[in-house]
Amino acid sequence: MRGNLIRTRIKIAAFCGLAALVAIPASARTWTRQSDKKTIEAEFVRFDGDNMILKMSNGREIPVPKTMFTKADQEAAELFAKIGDNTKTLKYAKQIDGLLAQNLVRAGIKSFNEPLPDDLFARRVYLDILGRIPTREEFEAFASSPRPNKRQELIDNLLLQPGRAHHLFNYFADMYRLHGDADFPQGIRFEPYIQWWKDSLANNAKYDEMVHQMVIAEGNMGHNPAAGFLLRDAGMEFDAFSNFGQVMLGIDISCAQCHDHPFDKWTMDDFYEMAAFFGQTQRTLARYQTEGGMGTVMAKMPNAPENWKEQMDAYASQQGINLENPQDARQYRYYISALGWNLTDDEERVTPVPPNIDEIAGEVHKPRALVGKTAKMGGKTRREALADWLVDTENSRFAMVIANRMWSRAFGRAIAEPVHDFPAEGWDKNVPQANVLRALGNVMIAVDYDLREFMRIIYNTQAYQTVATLEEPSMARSYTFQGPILRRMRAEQAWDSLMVLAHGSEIDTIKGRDGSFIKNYLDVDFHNDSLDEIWAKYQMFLSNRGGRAGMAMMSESGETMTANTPRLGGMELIRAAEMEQPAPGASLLDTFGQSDRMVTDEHTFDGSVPQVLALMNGTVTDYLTGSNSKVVTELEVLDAPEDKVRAIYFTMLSRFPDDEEQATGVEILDEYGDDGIRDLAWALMNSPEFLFVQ
Amino acid sequence: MHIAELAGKDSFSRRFFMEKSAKTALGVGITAGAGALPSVATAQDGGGKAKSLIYIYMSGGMSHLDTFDCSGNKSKDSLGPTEPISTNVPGIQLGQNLPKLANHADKLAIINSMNSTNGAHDQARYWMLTGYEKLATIVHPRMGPMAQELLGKRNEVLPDSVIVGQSTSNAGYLDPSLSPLPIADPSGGVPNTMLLTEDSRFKRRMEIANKLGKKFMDKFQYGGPQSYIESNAKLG
Repeated sequence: MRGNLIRTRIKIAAFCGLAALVAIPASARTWTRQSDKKTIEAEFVRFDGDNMILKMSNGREIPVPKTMFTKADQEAAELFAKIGDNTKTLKYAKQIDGLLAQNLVRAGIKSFNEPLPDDLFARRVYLDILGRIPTREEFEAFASSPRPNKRQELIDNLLLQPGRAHHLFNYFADMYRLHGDADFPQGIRFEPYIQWWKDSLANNAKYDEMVHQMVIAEGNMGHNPAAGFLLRDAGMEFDAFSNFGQVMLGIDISCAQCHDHPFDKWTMDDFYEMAAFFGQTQRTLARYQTEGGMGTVMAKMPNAPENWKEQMDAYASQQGINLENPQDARQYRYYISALGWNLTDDEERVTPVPPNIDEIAGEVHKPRALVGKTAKMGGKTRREALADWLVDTENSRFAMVIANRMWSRAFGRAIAEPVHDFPAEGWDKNVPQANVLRALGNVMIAVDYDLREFMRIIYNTQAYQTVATLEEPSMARSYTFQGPILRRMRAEQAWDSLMVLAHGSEIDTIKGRDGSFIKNYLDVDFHNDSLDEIWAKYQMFLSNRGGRAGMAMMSESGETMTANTPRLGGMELIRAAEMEQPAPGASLLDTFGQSDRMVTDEHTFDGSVPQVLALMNGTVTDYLTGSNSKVVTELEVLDAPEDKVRAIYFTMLSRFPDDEEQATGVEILDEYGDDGIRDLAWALMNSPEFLFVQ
Repeated sequence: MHIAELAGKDSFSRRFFMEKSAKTALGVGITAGAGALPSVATAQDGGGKAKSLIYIYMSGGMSHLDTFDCSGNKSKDSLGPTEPISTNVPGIQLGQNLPKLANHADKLAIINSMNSTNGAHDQARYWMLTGYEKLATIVHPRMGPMAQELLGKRNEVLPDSVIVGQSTSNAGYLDPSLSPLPIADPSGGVPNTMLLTEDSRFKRRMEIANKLGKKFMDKFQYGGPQSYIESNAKLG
């Protein structure tokens, strides 16, 4: 009720052209006393034993036994204790709504889209937050709940579930090009880095801290998994820098590697000056040049004693490895390479401009920041200076870049497109919603780069909680955000939704790949580990056989075991984030547009005949609509055909069937019996409504 | 004509079946008219006359020194044990293991001068297949998508190029609709064309899908599904 009242106030205020920010009540919630149903307005602060500390509207904080309030209130308090009170959340959401509403008025649009009805709301937030459809039970629970704040509570509850990290991971996997081996030689695996991403997102690590770690990381991926970011492009230092620019700075400067940028203001010198921040960073064991370009130095194993490699080789020979025989020594050499896939900084090292860049070939540039305030070197290494400069809150660009991307996850379109490249200066001239993006950047800074809280704010906006826009916006940049855009599910959402049909909600807890095993055998302390200990780690490496087949995992007690995931033939029936990255072979994920992770943001949403054929005739469809399938067998407990039809609609489309659909469904079941159930399930799975997020 | 009847062995009707099923499942429109073969783009002036091309790329295949670049002009060291043999064209020699092909040398245009200076397999392969140097920031299109982009679409629904032996494909920086149709296993053909049920049941399912899906399609006439369908329709 309160929510509606506030929404109405905003609407009137905005569309009368009054100030966007309406006076916002300080309290977040109405609390109801069990005994006499009296209510108070107060903010939840925290628990103190069995008491709740509530902040009253006069600002005073008082302890109240939690059992004084209704069960619904107590559960809400518990939720707040985990995810935080929503006072500021709702405040920021209203602020964003206010700006959007102003822009709508200026664009001549009457209002936001119609509010999302309950039975579309559930499917939308499950897909947007958890990256999968709700189960029949989950939908029924929400639809039948009488609680007044059930939408806010559902959002908060979903944000706390493990599935949230899966869905967010899929987005970042596309953006950061997370790939199991990145087509590098055997032995080089990126699972520890991928695992770091998953763990960080599951723990809701702050995004600016994650980025900072990635930029300054040292060692190999065993020592520091975040090193995977720069090691991803080892051997292609300037491309690595271009990717850094696109992904972290939102600037595509890759053109300027070879010539001055045709449209934007970047020159080649700008490119190489910025790239110079990485100029002293050594990746892998390759040779590198020293100052003056005189000769090359064959790098030893970094951070290891001078003769470490000789000693290790001697030990290996003693163990029976014939180092002269390439076949014999192959796995051993792969392991040494993997250990040496390493980030170190060396003041002597230089990275000159490559020889094929005619005008400035061979030049060595000093580091200089492209935009915003100057980077301060101080006593820092170059990468430390760069990282500090990047996430400095005065450099609002960094905050806006990630805010822009997170926004696109909820609305199907970013405010500034393309997300990996919006101009450094004058970008706001071409972006009608620039004021919103600036505000979002400020919000991102205000919530300290807490992505979960940021998304919580977006999901609580009125603009988000409307039905999807029915018409395709004509130009990417001029969309007015009166609501989200109707979009097709990501490949991972589609697959994960099929997994829900197979396993129900437990799909969120089925584990697949785990990078800790690989991390452990890479994490060698060259100074302090004995050769015996290192040899034992080499044995671990061997048991994983480079990681291709049957990924070994480490159980909690430290034993090696093979990932034992549910399968259908060769396919693992687990969530996309738990599989090999990207999904291997001729997978449904690939058919539906999953990126091959070679270039950033390559996921595609176009339709194709292979997609249609896969859904119509594929093995997974057969499995999901077979007579023994979960979808079919769980209907056996229902007697009446009307109930069965409703249940199928809940399961497949997470909504009630309308009268016509109900009648059609019952007709089918009457005529064809159990066969009809399977036909109905098949038909709904193959309808466009299944694949689209309304 | 019922959809299920079209899922026959004949390659033409198999294609027609796919087009029809795409129409029902996603509302793809067939603008060419039922049964009409799309017109084939004619060669431009100065262009080639071939309408179709089969490109065989042998990764790790036989050496040119033993096959097509095997001539008496080469030093014994580079030839190894393979001897050159004459063909039905004076001046052209092939390796001794291609005696039958030697009778058809007049039908071959052999290019031995094309090579790369890159010894790394992955980079050199990329160069051969795209004509560009491999970078970490962009993916160039291979021949199929590039040809389709330049020559125009010939097929309304299916891609104009096919890639055999790979399960994934893409069009590089060109529109994803230009991606080749991937056929991972040549003996399996286009995957997922075998119906899960008998024809009549499939037909029934399609009718149900049509009926139940109509409302959604009507609602979003101009929106997402339409462009999804259009790109499906072009399937290029």
